[in-house]
Amino acid sequence: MRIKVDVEKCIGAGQCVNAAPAVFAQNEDDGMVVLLNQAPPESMAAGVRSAIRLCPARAIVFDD
Amino acid sequence: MNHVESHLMSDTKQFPGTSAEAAPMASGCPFHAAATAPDFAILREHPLHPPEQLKDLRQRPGPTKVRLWDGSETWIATHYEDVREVLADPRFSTVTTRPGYPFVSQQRRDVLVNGRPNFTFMDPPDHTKFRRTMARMFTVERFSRMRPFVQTVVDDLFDAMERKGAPANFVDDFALQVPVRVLAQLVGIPKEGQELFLQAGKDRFDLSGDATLSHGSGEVLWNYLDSLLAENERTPGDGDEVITRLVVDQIATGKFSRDDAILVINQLLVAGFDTTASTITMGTLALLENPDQFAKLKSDQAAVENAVHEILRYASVLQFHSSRVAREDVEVGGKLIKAGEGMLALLHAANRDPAEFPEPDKFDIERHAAHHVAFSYGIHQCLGQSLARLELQVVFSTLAKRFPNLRLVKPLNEIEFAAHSLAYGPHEFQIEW
Ligand code: HEM
Ligand code: SF4
Repeated sequence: MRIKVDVEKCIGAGQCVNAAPAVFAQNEDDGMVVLLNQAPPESMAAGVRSAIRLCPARAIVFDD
Repeated sequence: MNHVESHLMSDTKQFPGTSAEAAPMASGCPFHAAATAPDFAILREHPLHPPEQLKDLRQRPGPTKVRLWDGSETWIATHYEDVREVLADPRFSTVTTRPGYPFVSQQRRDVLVNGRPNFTFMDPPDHTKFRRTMARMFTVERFSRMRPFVQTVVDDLFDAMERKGAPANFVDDFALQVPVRVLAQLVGIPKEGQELFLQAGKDRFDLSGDATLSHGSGEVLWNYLDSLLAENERTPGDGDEVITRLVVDQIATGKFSRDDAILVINQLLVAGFDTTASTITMGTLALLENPDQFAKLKSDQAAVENAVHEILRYASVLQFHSSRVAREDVEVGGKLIKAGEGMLALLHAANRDPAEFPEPDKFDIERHAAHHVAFSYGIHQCLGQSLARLELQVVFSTLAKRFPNLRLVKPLNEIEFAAHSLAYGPHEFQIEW
């Protein structure tokens, strides 16, 4: 799976970090999302799907 | 309960709901044609469940219309998916001066129209400036560093409770104290300021109250914060309290005026304690009313993270906050919401939607509930949610460990609830152990 994030939409709620900490982090400077892995392995798919569903700003999408 | 003779009371049932008469429904009322919207029910029949009216209205597809206290009509969204659609859609505004904005009570209208500004009631780009500045102080990582402090606060309060002996006042001596102390530490508010934000929050949240009270205590807090900031600007600190970061990173660099800084601090203080305290009390009541669920938490400390999602969903204490007005025509759940029409996205209704949460009135700490909307959804979703979850996790894991025999002194039906508060919850109850 490939994913991308839209930092312009992000509000820094950190739901993605809770759901998939190996894939998402928050930038120290502004709290906005940082994508650690654009192509997370299948083993992380459940966490990523959960992040996509939880993100309040709909800032995370599949990139295919 | 606060028996205020308020317009909110009329046409809705009195709690504890001895009357069998339902709030008038558009379809069932013999005197009104089906076109007349039913009066919006604020009062609950049962303290742990949202008003029955919402269940009835959710039987119909999409949003429906209700009549508010001033006779105006507004849409309400009760389906989970509709609530998320409304809250994620930038065509809905939170700006209270836009014609058509729905106010759930007269006090609310007076407070929101005449009160000091607050970034919840701003749309982008005004909202963005405040939210982005605050987000960096509210990261998941930062709050994980605060866990030991929160644990100390909870331990100290429970120690004091044990020293004094049962029974204990759970709301004033525990549930309110946790968020007040945590917020004071996070923001950097000295002891003398804590009473001020407690009062300002209480007055602001009392929907049936007198708006001049909220105005008065709100101004006292605002002026206090003004002088506290002035003092910090003269001698800036070097810690990571919110007030220091605002002074050093924002005011000193010209990005924020002092009023901008007061606005955000004021908002954090007022938004952060009644919500958290009510979730602590409602969660405790839910656990005590469902001993099988409490037993699960006692036997498995790892269950607390999921239990907190369920407690947030089940309690949904901020029930009427997410009001919006359509900026342009929008279709939601198959209904056309016209520009200038109001919309209440009802979080407590969405969190009990059986289409999303099977057997929604069942309190089940093992259910999948992380996607609840108790913190709202969209760009205004709670800024303090990571902190709130942390506080709740520490509270409920410690409670289960230290007070396995926790009991209510009086049964649930003798407890009085703040039925007209923005954050629903009990006024006070006593516990023993
Ligand atoms: C269990 C506790 C809490 C609950 C249930 C809760 C709930 C909510 C909800 C529903 C909203 C959105 C309101 C809307 O859509 O109109 C919100 C916004 C907000 N909350 Fe919380 N909250 C809690 C704790 C906190 C804490 C501890 C803080 C601060 C430290 C906080 C600060 C805020 C702020 C600043 C906003 C406005 C965000 C914005 O408009 O962008 N909340 N909260
Ligand atoms: S969940 Fe969405 S809004 Fe929150 S930090 Fe992640 S990307 Fe940003």
